[in-house]
Amino acid sequence: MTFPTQPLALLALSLAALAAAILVTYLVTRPPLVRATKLWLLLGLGILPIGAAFAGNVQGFEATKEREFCGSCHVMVPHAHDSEDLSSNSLAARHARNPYFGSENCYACHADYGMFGTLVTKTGGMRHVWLYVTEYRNTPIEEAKKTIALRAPEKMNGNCMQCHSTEDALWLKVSDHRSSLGEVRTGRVSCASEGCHGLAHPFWQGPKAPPEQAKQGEN
Amino acid sequence: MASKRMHQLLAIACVCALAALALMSWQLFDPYAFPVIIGMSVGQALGTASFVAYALVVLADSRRLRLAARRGGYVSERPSAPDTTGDDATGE
Repeated sequence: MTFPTQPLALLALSLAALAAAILVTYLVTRPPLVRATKLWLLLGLGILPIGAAFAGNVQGFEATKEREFCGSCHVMVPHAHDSEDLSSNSLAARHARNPYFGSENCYACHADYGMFGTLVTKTGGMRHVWLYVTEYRNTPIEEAKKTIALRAPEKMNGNCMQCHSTEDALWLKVSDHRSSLGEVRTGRVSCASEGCHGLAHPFWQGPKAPPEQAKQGEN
Repeated sequence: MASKRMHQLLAIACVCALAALALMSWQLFDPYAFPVIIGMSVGQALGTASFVAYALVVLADSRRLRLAARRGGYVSERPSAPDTTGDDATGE
């Protein structure tokens, strides 16, 4: 547990502290319900907590993009550790060393893009929480490495293409890129496969592992 | 709504709001999956409930004052003190 230093977090804490002071004062003194009391309570129960919630939520949403947030579920610890490993050559670790990804590298590669991307990503995140609580909470890490896989691996190339557009002349100069252009763009060939740029995470099974998922990826 | 009940409801609202503020603050100190999710769900729900309770009390008190004014009597805000043993001055 660390004391937050972000301006929004400090704002949320200040508003929460002010609201708490008003509420505790009310509970201790129990003044009559006159207009002044109502106004103080409007501050303590309404305006200040709403401000604290708003600032806290924005800060919370930002926190959900951080790698340490993703790594707070034990089944994701190996992936988070690999990303932080300066000697690792996995795609995830190489991207994490890029300052444009940095500590938000999980989110940068796994978030849905597009108009409702953030919403879709957060909704998907709630499914992850549900699955974690109901299925993976007590799963040993070794077993999790074998069983947890991408739900829609065919979509992952789309996320790679947010930066690597596949339109660039330099990119198209590579013969492997040119020959597999259609497959890469439709997700039939993964950028992060062993024959191409290597697995994103060293523990990830890749499309070869469960045949039913490879089948799903074709749909 | 009797003034004693109003004050009870306000006290419950204050305790709920304090719990909500604690949960919302916890996620800032510990920005991991469960604190953040609990802060954004349970914390928000408790905070909203406490504000709704406050709004109910204020509406009920305004109604009490308006009804009493309509009856023509002088209406004091004082009868809503928490230490009253029964209903408020207007007997509602």
